[in-house]
Amino acid sequence: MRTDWGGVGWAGPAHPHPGVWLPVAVLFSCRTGVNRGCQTRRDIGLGQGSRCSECMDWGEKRNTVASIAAGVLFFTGWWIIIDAAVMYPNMEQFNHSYHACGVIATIAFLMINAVSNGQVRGDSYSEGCLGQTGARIWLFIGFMLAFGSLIASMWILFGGYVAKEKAIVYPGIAVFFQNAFIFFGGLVFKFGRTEDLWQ
Amino acid sequence: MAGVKALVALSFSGAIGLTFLMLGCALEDYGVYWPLFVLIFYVISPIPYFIAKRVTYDSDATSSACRELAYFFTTGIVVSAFGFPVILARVAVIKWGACGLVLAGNAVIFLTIQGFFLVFGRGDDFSWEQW
Repeated sequence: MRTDWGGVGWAGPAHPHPGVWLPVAVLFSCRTGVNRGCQTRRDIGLGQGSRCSECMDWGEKRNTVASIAAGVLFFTGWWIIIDAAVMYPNMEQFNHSYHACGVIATIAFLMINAVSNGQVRGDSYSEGCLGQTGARIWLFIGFMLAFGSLIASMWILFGGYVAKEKAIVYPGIAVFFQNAFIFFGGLVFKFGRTEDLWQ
Repeated sequence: MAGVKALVALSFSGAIGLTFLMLGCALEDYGVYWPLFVLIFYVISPIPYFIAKRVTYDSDATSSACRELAYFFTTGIVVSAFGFPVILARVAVIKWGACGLVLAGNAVIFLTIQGFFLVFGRGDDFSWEQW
């Protein structure tokens, strides 16, 4: 259904079923402001219209998609640990000090994403207070905290629950998944976005 | 004229979503009104977008860090709205059927909010300043 747009032309008037195509046309006309860069290429090569629009949509919306994916991962991680904390409130089943792991992962998330890639490469407009070296050290510490919290969550799972052969392993699994989700959310938010779209 | 039709359709779907939410709370099998707190999530979900829109004056850039942060927080609010009734059902405050109704209401309401921004957010003939 997408391929015949290129042949007919974009929202062509000669389409036999305008009633069916009207919602689709309305939905895409809302997005013309976004993929305006695609118009010229579509005009040049009509046969590749649909494929071009797909790749351009991904390019223009890449930051939005990455932000939403990172948000889903990060907050799903926190809701997993909320679930574990609510289900097992006493210290024997779920030691409250295990929450520190997720807190450090969140701090690492903030530290990683507070520094832009341009600042690390040194091609940003403003130097900041410490410049490129400070940005690199900050990012280094942030990634160290992120990996450290991920490793610590595995340690909690195996050292605190599996090796002790506790009856309820779920809090350990919840801690591990919380940290894994926050970690990958941070990676998606950091590397899934491109800063070319900011200019 | 299309704006009025879209407005009526969106308010209809919003009413459907709120009906799902109230069914999850008020059916005599359920009768627990804690899920109504998701209304807070509905209200605060567009706020990051509004803040980012006011803060970023540079409109010719296709994206900005502030707007992406707003998307991140909006996603967090949406995820929280889905996570909250699940937690309530996990600790047996509400039943799983009520949780399902609330989740359905969540989906409809957030699609309505999304539709509101898709229909009215980018149109040149309609701006928020007119309100």
